[in-house]
Amino acid sequence: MLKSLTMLLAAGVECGVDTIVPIIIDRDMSNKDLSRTILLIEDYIDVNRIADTKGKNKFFKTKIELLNNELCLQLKDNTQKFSDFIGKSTMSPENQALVEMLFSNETLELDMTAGFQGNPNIGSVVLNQFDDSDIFKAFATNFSKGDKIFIISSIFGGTGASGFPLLRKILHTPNVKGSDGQDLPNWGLVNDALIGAISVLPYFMVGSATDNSLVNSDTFIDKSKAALSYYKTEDKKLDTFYYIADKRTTTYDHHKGGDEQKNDAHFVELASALAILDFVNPDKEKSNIHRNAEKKINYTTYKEFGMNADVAEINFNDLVDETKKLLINPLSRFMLFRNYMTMVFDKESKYQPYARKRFNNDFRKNETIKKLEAVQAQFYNWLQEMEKQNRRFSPFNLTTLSAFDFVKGDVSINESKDFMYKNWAKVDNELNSQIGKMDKALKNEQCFIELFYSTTEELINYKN
Amino acid sequence: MEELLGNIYCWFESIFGQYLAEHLWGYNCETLMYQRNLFNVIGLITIGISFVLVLAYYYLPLFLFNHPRSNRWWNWLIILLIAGIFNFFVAYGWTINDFLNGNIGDCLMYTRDSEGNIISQLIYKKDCWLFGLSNFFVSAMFFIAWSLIFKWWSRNCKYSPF
Repeated sequence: MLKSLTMLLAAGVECGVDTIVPIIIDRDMSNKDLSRTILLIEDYIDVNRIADTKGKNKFFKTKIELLNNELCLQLKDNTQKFSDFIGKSTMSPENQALVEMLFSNETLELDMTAGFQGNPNIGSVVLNQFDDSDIFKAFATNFSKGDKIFIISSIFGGTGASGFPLLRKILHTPNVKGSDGQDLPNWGLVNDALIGAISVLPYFMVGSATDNSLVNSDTFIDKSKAALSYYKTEDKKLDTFYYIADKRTTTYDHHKGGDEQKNDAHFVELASALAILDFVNPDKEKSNIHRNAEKKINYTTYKEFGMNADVAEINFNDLVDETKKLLINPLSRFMLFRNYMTMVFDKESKYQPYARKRFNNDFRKNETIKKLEAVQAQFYNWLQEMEKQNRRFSPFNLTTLSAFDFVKGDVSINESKDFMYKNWAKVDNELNSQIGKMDKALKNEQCFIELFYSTTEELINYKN
Repeated sequence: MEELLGNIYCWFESIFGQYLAEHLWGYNCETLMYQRNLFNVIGLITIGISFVLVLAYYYLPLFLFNHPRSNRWWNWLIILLIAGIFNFFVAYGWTINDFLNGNIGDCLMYTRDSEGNIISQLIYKKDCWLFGLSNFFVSAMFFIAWSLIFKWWSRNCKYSPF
């Protein structure tokens, strides 16, 4: 879901805040999905550093900041087996018997390096240590008045299902101390901060286990029900609580974790990212936040994601107006930018005035531009992956060579009546026009991103 | 100033011949004086056509003109050739018309003996063709000059041909 959020921010979807600080809590550090997300965020940060964020440009506008330059909250204890973590071998026989009653043998022998494999009962024990971590201290130190907190978790796994209520509880515990025994700074602000959460219910299945994995998608619904009944206690502890699920599921290959766990992107993850944008939007505060004068939560707002119709293939027309307006222009503009770079730039930059003396020769070897293109490539892959799901998000024709007819459905994104220029020539014409309006003091890479934003904004302007 | 265009054309006099040049300077065989300078007339038409096509190439929003796909150097060259060919026929047409209608003074057309018999012809049809060719070169020169002056504000072609 963090990947989807990063894609939306790269495309310039309106965020409502200027900085997002993501922190991932996951024991399975070798998870391939995690590695891909880390690389994406690192590339995003590098491009955001260069992109002009104060002017007109919206591509990569929102800053993503990493605490202590790390994305992941490292759990200090790295014992492999759960039984070792709880110190079963050093317990008295009576306590050992109690433990054996509470936990099955498979659970006790579970290798936790690949996560909790859908066992929140283990996670709730192991994760009780994360307030000790350096990132948590950095989180507290950097927390300011007006910052908001948003917790993302799945309800049918192990880490998310157990971590979410634990995390929420710690965030609302007064006077939490770090490992050095000192009070964490700014903790009062953390206690009082606006807080939201999304719980992702089952939206995929996994095939039968081929190894000793304990993950079993037949139990996803039951685990969700059990967690939901516990989450009733979160009422009035959160300002806004979002839920999302999908009954039309895809079955993924079964990998309990590690390098092989690499699931394709799903529309549910994109919609979940919209929950964050909904929560941080200052225009939505009236509907999302209900606190009294003492800053205590009067009641929690509950929200679910909806569409116009239950369709197997989603395009922009299937989204409600609010979602459509939020997504269509940014995603289409970024798609046009990506397509131009892939299909046209090399051939035309030699001839077009916008590129002369600025964006030719070795420009594409520039590190920032390479990162920009890496993000664009991942954006394309992300869209491709979402198209492979049983519930496909397929707003674009990904194989077209045309400049403008890549948006599916009856959606008109280009109202320009300029019939003199067609297809990619229209884009080049607009680039040549916009370059004259760029601030000459901008660095090349900065100018490049802003130029393409201004150009795509002129060419793609969906109005409901 | 009045003779500037004529002087430019006379750079190519060795191509189209001095007698046709004299006709174009406006020499009248009867009054033995120079009257209407045709170099100026043809020259101004040539300059005008080059100018219009240069402006069209750099500023008119029409395919072949001021278009992102026609800003290659060979597109510019094609327009230069079009201007040149048009001006070629302007110059040829004007002179051949004078040649065929007897508007060129007899003293410039022929050498005659004392009895008025033609000893030799001084201007031929081919000289009209060659004057057309000379006007093609003059057109190209002005086309290049106008390009250098006016291309800088063009949206799509300002770096064409260089």
